[in-house]
Amino acid sequence: MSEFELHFDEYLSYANSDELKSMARMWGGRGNERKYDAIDLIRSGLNDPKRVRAAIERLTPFERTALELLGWLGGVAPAAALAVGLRASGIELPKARTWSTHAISELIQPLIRRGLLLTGDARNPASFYETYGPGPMVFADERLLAQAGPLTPQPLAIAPAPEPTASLYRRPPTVVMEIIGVLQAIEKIGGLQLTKAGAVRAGDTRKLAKALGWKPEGIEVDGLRFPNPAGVLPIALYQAGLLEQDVDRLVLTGSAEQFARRSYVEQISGVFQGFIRAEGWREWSANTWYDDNDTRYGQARLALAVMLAALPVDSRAFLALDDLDQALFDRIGEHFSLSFLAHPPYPYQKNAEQIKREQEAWRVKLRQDWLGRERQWLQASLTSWLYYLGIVELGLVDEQVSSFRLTDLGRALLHPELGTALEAPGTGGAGAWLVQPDFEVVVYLDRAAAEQIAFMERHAERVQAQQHIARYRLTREAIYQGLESGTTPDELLERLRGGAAADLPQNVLATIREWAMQRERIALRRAASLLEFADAAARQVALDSGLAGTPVAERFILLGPHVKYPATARVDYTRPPLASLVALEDGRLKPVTQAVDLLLRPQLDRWAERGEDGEWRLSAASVAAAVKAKLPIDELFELLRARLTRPLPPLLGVALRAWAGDRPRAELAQITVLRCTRPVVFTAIASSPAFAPYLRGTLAPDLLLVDERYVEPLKEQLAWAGLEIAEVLELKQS
Amino acid sequence: MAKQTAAPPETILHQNLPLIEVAEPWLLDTILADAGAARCVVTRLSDRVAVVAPGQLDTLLARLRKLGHTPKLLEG
Repeated sequence: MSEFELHFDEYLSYANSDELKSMARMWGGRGNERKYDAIDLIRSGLNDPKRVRAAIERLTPFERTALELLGWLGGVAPAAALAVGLRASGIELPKARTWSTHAISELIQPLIRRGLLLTGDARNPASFYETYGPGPMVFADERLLAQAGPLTPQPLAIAPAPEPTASLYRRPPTVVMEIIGVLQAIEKIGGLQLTKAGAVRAGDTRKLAKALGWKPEGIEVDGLRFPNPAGVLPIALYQAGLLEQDVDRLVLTGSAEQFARRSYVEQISGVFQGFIRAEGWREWSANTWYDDNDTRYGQARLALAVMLAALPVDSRAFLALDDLDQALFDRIGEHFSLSFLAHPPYPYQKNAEQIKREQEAWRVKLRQDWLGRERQWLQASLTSWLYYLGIVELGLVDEQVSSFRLTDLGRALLHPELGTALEAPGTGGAGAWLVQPDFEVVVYLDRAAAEQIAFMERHAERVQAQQHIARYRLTREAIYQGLESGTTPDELLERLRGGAAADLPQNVLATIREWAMQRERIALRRAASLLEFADAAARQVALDSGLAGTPVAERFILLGPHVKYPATARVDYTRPPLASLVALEDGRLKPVTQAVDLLLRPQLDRWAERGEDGEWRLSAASVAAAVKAKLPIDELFELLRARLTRPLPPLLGVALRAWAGDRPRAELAQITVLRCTRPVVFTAIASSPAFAPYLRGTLAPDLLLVDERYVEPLKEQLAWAGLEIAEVLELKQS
Repeated sequence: MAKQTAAPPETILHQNLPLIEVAEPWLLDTILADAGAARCVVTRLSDRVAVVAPGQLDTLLARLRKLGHTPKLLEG
């Protein structure tokens, strides 16, 4: 998933000499090498696994944890997230040099200078500047990562909480069933369209939610709120490598069935990491204006994941959410906030007592803000995605979530060193489900193989999921969608029988067969190959000579797949149609070249009357009849745009719209005008109070409209003014 | 779109042509009686086969699904 090649080699020559000298020290450099000597030292060191191992053994706990954490994240991470994750690890960190040192730089810069990280800035990969916004990505060389080892944060000392009165948890088969359902839904809707910015289009998010029966704003999982799962799951699945970008869509990398074949840890660990990296989604929001493009929520999720990896491993006791919250605050609270983080008090020109008092007040304020914000977010994280993925078991007291512990799956993901044995997925075969006469299928999640669950998700509608069973319903729609995905009716029945604990009810068998038969009654062919002959006799000759295909009407053969035939002409319907007509102003459409496609004649027949010599004529009657048959007039214009070799005469365009009912208004009347081509004289008349009663307005810069009732008085007035009056207009020929 | 020829060609291969094919003629009659579906169909070649307007196959599929049909979607 990384866009970085996790090798330093190509980047080193773009680093500054000073930084390279510092980086080369890990590989025996003295700090005074020339630039390319330093690069050679670093490259040769990285290429020698023994020297890499030795170098890693010399790292401080902070440096080693940074590599472990980056390895845990796949080798690349936003610098800000890595810094927050390092604070959450509880490892002793480099001391801040000054009051104003930046929270990210003070951790990341030393790691770069040590030669453990580079930034994604190809022009200057060894320089790090802290800026507002998401900030740069950093990555480590995979040769370092390979020997960094698993994440080992400083263990948390949290006392066990009282045993809750009840608990909620999700078992791996249920989690996997849900993920398979989401993958199949994405496949069914043809992938998810991306915007130019690379986000899933809002319409496709809604489409996915609809396909899964989810409300767009969120769902409830065992009574716990999970906001906008259709928004975050595609991102998490993409980050997990289960979706990939195909031009402008997110599509499945492999089939849901392939995903189902993996172990539970493999299936869920990628999605777990995907949630940590998911940007643009929040499990909780204070709706404050201070919004850092949601990257802070990803940083917070990483910090929480590190804290979970730091939980005590020698006990299965529940832990209070409040205690986890306090521990998280203690580790990151002074440096991280989901919103605006209050700066520490300014220490200069103050005595020790003042500084101490102000810092205490600052910490109290931080904690108060945290309790109103990050504490709420923490609870939402545990009760949404971490619960959804089956990583935590939630302890309830008075129906309120108050404590938690890692599930076996959570321990296997976050503490691989414990070698936690997970329940094995069902092995498949008979006994995975029971099909009942009312079309309900009870799936026993302990017995069903993940592939059987994938089969059921594809061919039935899930109506309920509990700890150990899931209830599905065989519906016409679900069976249809399953068959459309490529299953044959025989395969469907065979697999349904194969997983059943008892014989399939006869009515279910008969109905599924009937549904499958109904699907066979209408076929839509997206890209058929149809061979057209001059006459029935010619076609018969071709059929007699062994041409494979299905006769259609008198002159056609529908060719089977991959059948070739040396036709004398070809028409490809994925390409624009041939422009073969000229439109005349009187509505005639004259062919100027021969179009042999099957579309032109029937399309013209809808709008025009056939004339002689292969012509058509568009008329008021033919267009009105088509419009009456509910054909949109724009369809005709689209047809003409595609088929005319020259532009449509404008007047015919006006007429076509008028015949379709869009009649433009024109006014025709007999009038008397006074024209005077000399501007001075025209202005004198037009502005004269004496002439005003006889005139109705100005038609043009040299033309006045005369009131018919006052033509004679106007003449007299013009004569008085000495104008010579002509009785006809002299128009220039244009 | 097509090669130009003076005389009608002896055989014409219509490639990538969207078609609807039904098991019984009355079924196509029923489909064409629906204005929404008929709008997507350009011409009927036989009592069981009709040409669908290029680019309209998915619209026709959606319309048929709305009418309660479960058509089989084939590529070729």
